[in-house]
Amino acid sequence: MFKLKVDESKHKTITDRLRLTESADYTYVLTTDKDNVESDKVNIVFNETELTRVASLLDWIVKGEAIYITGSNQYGDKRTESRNIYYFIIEGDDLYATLGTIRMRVNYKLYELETLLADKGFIRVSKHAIVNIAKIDYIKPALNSKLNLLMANGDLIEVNRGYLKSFKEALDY
Amino acid sequence: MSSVFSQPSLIFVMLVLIGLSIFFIKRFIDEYVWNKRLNNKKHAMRVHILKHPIKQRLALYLAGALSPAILVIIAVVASVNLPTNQYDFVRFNKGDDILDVYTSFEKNYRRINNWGLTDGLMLEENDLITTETADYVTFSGTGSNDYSQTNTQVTGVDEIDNVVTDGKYIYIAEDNQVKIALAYTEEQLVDVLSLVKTYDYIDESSDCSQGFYTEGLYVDDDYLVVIGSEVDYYCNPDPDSSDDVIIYDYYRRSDDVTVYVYDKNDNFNLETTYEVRGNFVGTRKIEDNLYIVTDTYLPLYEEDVEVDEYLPYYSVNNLSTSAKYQDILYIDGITPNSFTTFYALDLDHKQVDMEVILGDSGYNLYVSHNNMYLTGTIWSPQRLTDDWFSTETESNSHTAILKVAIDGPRVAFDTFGTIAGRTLNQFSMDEYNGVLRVATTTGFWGDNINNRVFMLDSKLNVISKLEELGKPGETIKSARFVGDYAYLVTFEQTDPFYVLDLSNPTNPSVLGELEITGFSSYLQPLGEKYMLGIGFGDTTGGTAGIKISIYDISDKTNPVVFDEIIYDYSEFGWAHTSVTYNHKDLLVSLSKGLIALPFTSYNYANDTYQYNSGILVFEFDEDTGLFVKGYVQHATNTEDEVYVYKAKFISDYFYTVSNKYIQVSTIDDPTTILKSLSIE
Repeated sequence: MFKLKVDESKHKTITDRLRLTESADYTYVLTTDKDNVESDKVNIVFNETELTRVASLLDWIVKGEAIYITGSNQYGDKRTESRNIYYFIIEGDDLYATLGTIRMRVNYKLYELETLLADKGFIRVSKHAIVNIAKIDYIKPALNSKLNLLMANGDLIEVNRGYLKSFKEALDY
Repeated sequence: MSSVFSQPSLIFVMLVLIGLSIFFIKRFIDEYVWNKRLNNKKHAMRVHILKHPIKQRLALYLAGALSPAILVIIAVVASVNLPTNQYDFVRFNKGDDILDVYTSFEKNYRRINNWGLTDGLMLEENDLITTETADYVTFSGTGSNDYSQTNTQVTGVDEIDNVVTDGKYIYIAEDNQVKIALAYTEEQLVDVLSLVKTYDYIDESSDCSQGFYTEGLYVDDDYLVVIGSEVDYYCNPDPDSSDDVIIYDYYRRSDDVTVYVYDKNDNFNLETTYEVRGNFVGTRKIEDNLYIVTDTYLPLYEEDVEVDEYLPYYSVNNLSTSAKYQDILYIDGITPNSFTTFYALDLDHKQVDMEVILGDSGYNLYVSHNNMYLTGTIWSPQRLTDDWFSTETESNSHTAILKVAIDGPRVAFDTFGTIAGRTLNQFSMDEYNGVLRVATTTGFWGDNINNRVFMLDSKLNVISKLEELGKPGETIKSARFVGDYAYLVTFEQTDPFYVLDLSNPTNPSVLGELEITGFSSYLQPLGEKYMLGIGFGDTTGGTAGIKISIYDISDKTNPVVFDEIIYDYSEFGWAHTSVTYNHKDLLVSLSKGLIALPFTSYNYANDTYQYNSGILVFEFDEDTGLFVKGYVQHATNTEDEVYVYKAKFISDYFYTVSNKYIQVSTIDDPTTILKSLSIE
């Protein structure tokens, strides 16, 4: 998404401070020198004293507009930003969103959420589940060519073999 | 010649071992690659990466893959894998281990008295009585997005306050009550000003009742959060007694902090009750995560003390979880006299995380987006040696800094460090680009005073320091760190206002200096060009007055006074503003050119006592400076003292809050009251 064009001597420091990941297929050029701008890209020319603000801007660009999901449980209805949800899972005829230790039933189809949240870091891992990559704490490969995802709330979610390829592609930013 | 290759069973065993080794190595590589990929992705998503147990996993695989020798190496490595600073960190298995630490400490260290800890008496648990004294009025209007937030040290790190607003309601916490007033809607503006709900946390049916005393509030889009502690009241059983011994009423806080979370989207109904063990030390809130620090005094010197009874715990809707001894950490050499507990409450998911540290507690809490720093003064612990009789002096007082990392709803001890001197308040600390900057003062008077600014790395090792700031005898009166710069006020006779350049952590320097009379005890940046100073000064060069100064700091090498207003005590009698010690009572909005602060004066002249309390409202303009727009009072010349203590704005309206009223006017004309609401 990003390409940083600054003096080589400052490249690592600025990358660290901006918490930047560069990619070959980039849309945005970040530079301290306006002569480095590229005409077919979105260019951000910044002053080195404004790195904190630039980092906030990058947060905003990467995270994008918030999507809210509404669900319900025994306490009533709840509306929450999608980034707070750990994973969605089908149990019986219902689809549930897991938020830490609480669950709420949501009135979506799994494939609808897969499309809706594709740009928000959610990925389908089985016929029954979509997980938020940001909430995966650790990946443990299992013996049967599957993966076990240890979620940040301690839950374990399995990546089925059929979804292994797309899961790997989702991690390859 | 016989060799191992001639023994099939041995070959088989070796092949099995080699096979197992390859299996474990492949498993580890697979796991490493997957998690590396995950972390890269999270980094690209700009999501904070949690510390996962990769080292333990690596150890497991290598142990399986190679040989028991690796275990030995790991054991050796583990035994020397200590933090880089000079402190040893100890964990426990049971309560007796803590008693052992205490015994060892008493034997090996000086017994050093600390700062004003209480006797740690335990209170009995009592059910909290909550009554609502008013019916809730459903009102569907929409509030404004333009309203004053709590004046915080760090943008995005919310601080507890006694009056808060969300653009529609004003919430007031006062003693045993929380009041909710509908203040503004886009549809009916301030006509809606009315009290819609009161939470009364006291059982008034009893003459000598139990109750909950509020510390303050937070409000966000979803929740109203009320924090406080239960209080036991001890009443004089016989106030009319003619006995010589007079027993007064008194009250005592409990050792627990209670948090009530009300759902704004559900008519402010109580959604969750949290209880955390310990006396309230400080709190912050970042997004949906609430952080609370407490300390629990441990009377380890008492015979038969049961450490279990003092063990920190938390409860969520009465479901209680206690700390495990294995999770408690002790910093060797620090007086083991209390548990300092850092709690993280995930309000959205109703989860709690805690980190318990055995040792001295602290009192100044600074919280950045990534870390909590709790500082306290320790009189540097010294092992019992020949210098036992040497005099313990102020000059070797140190600031102990506990650093606890925060990662959303998780808290984890990071490290501990000490530096010379004592901190003044939370503004003495600031984290910027991974460097903690701390301003301290050693000594109270005389020539041994030393004002310093330390630059500390992530492990709290000193990178560099500036020393001997201020003239001889001067101590730090206020500090404010803003990006690459620090602004420092020292004072004894005059007020040197320093600008420090901290852009190079290895080489900080004094960039500019301004010397004026009086001093500022609170500094607040006004954009990048100006600094507001609120403190003391009079018209004759002394400090017998309240002084409000605007420093022009656009030229860091040459700060100048841009404007100042002095309220000389000789004109008002004695006067005070709470902003000199509570920054949250200050209202500043640069976009509206608004500065407002409480101002109270007492005057006794010609046998007449005059009490005036109100909000001073200023207009600030970068070209013309500071102008008084008005002084908003809720009562004049009444027998009751009506103390006006807070100002807020919603949209173009200006709200002032006293112990009796909420009044509303406009920012343009703050003294013309449009509506007054009694909240008694």
